[in-house]
Amino acid sequence: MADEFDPALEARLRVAFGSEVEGRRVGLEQDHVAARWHARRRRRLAASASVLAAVLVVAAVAVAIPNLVAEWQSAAQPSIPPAAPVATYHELTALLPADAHTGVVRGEHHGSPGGVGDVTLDLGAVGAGSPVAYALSCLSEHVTITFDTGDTTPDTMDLQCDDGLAHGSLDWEAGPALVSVSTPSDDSWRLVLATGTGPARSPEPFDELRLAAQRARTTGGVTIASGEGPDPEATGALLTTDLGAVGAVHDIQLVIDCIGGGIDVRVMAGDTKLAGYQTACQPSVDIQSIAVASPGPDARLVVVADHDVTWRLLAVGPMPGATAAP
Amino acid sequence: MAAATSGAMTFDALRGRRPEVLADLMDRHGLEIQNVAYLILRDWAMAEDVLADTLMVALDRGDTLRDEAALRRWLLRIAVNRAIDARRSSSRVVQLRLVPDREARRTFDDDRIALLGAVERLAPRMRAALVLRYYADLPVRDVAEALGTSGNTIKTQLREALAQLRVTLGEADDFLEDRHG
Repeated sequence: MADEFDPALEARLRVAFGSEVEGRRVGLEQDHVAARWHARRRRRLAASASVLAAVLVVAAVAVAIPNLVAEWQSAAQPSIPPAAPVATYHELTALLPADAHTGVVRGEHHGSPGGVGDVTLDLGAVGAGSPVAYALSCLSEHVTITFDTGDTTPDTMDLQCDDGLAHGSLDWEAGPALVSVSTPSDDSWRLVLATGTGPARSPEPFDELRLAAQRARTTGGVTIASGEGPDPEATGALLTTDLGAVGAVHDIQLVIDCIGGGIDVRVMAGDTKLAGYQTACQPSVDIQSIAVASPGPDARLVVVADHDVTWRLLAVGPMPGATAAP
Repeated sequence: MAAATSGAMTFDALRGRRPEVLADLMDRHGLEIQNVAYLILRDWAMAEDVLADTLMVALDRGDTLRDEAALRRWLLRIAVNRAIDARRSSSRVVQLRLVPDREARRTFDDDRIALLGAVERLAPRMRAALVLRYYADLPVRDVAEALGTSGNTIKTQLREALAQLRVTLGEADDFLEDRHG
């Protein structure tokens, strides 16, 4: 071996080192390290602010001395607010996902000490595409971000300023919108938003739903209804879709993939609701079995969902001839 | 394949400086970093501090890492530098070490204690080179990269370290022979 110098002593070292740490576990808690990291980051932000403030003081003194006489003779001028020690755009952009390259809007506000009221700043437009990635640095508790599509009530969200720096993804699927940010006027913030982090997700195709149903249902089953929404022709905020008759079955397995708010599935006999299932949309396919207490041949499956919820649903019933649930 | 994918995710999270990567780094590399630091420092509390510092520095500078394959080496480099710094700042503290019991027969433990005691008498960077080579099992070129020097320098340091160990162990052997009769 080219890198061996004294094989016997090297072997003894390997054994000694190994046995010295044998059975040892990591003594640290991950939360402890994370807390220390956040605390250190806060200290650094504060230190940056102190340095910046000191520089500004020196600069202000340097400017003030030559102009002292003129200052005495003129009315007091409003002071220049110090730049807030929020993270730079470069730092914020580094927090965005690597594929968030398109549709970037950004903005900043440097609060004036003693400012009153709120200030709203328009950042520009974001296009269709979900999610919207964001990176935010702010010195207040939170900032309020508003998405205005122009045809509905503007959608507002509060972004928390965790330790002065936050980033993540906003669940925004409604399409192009004007974005604005509101904060108290004495707060400072800097924000970068990016769409184009990949195409908006569509519900899984029916074949995938069937596979999911097969995996979940060990006793077999047949598809008794299926459908998707929203119907592009439909109008209104809340849409009802009739998936047709499901027959006299006692137990129905619902396989749902939806994106947006939530979905309400009902088994109806005329105006009578025999069974139902309401759920918020999950990040993965949702499989749920519902029991129909009094099934009848005229039972139908109906889906009620907001117009902006995209969904695909499969209903699976027992194999023909299977024993009905008691 | 799963591990490779997970490693890539860790790398991406580190590059994105996302704090949640800490748990993964600790799972994958925490024990080795802690043990390397301990073998240089011979103090578990300080080794834990080095581990915490290493993870925080990694998170701060994760965006500078270019090569996923270099992650382990990069972390060890941070840890070793931190451990050497910590060792220097604590060098005024006199640490008491276990010595073999007078009545005990000469055992494997004697050998280990003598050997580790001899390692402790080496210069910090030499000790770090030994730990990276014979505990972390890094090839010489990786030890060199971790310590920011050339492969030839590391080879020289390792040769010199082993020579010093032989001398120290010879003295220790004489000492133990006297004690055990």
